[in-house]
Amino acid sequence: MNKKKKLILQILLLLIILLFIISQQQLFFTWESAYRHVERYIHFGPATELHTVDNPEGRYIIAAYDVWIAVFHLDQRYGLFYTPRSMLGDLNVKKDDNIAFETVHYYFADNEMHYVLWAYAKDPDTSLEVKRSDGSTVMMEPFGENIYFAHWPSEDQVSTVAIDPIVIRGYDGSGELIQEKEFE
Amino acid sequence: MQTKDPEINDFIKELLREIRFFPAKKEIEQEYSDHLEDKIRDLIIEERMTREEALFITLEEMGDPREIGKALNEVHNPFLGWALLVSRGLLIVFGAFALHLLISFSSELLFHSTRDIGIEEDLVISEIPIDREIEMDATTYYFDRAVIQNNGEAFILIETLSYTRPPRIRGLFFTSVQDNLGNTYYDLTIPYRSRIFRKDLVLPLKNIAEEAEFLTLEFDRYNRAFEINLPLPERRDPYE
Repeated sequence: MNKKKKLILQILLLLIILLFIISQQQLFFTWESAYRHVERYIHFGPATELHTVDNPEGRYIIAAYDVWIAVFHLDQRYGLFYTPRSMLGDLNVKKDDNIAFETVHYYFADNEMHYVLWAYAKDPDTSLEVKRSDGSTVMMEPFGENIYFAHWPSEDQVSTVAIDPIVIRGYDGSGELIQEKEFE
Repeated sequence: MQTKDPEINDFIKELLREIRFFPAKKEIEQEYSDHLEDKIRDLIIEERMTREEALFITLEEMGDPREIGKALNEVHNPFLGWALLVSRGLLIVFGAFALHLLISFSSELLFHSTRDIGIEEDLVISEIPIDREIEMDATTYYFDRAVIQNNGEAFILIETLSYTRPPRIRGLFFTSVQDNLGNTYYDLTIPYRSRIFRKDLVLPLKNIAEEAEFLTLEFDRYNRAFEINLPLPERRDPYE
């Protein structure tokens, strides 16, 4: 076998092996396909992706399906692929509250804990702020008409299931406080 | 490889100067060194020449080392050489990793893991066939049967088959599991056996009320809903 034929054969073999690895390792070339994969096995959706936010290990996907807004986490692997990790939680926006929100704390591979908070406000003019335990304030990023998202690394580190106490305040268009909730 | 004759060394050095694909140089050096030595030995034995004469004739017959080097350089094309070398390296690395995956994959097929789910045969009073298949997205849940024990425990056995590639099956989270008296029970299934593309789940229930006549397993989440009603047998005291 001459060298060219040998090279072609080796490359073909390599491609077959790579395809096998990609399929077995749940690696996807786009975050959309990774997201759809999670959706299928957790029986959610098909949802509309509202927003994506990069995080230290990959990306958060905020997706809406019927009365639910859910946040998913996808990992970026080997710089080229996305792999589904988990659904962080869902928020049912059909509640009577003016503001509905959901918060989770989430550990990355390096044990760094992050808070992820997402909310829905009936009035699109609402602004939402989060007061953290250290006194700092985070304004939630609005997107779409009335959906908000915020995430930040926690002061608390693992070893305890400590939850950074936070207060969420919602203000209407004129700046009046319309809702306040404290988490402990 | 160094030979004892500086003329042969010089000849090979000249020849190798023309080769651009350096990983091939060692092989060529060895090959030509052996070839020249063999030829010299043949001339000494067959033609009864002295070593100096045989060496002179051999090098004369070989011709210009640079010309030979140029011809060999064509054969050992650096692009092809590197491409072959790199692809071979990648094949070894990725091949080993794929083999590792394949072994775990086939071991799951051949020696599927089974976890003891705690059914105590002597306490079983009834096995109620459910035989209901529920399809949700890419997964089929086959509700096989319920094993009822007379100590108030029951096990609902569910087989799953996933069509996603790679298959990924999460346990079922029922919205509610309750009996006709309104008592609620544990609502999360636990995987107990893995098979290729499949995973078997069990919903273990404890402290089922003696007066309960049937159980209702309800799943209603994200617009997917189903309900399974399960009649419960009358319980007898195992020590009666």
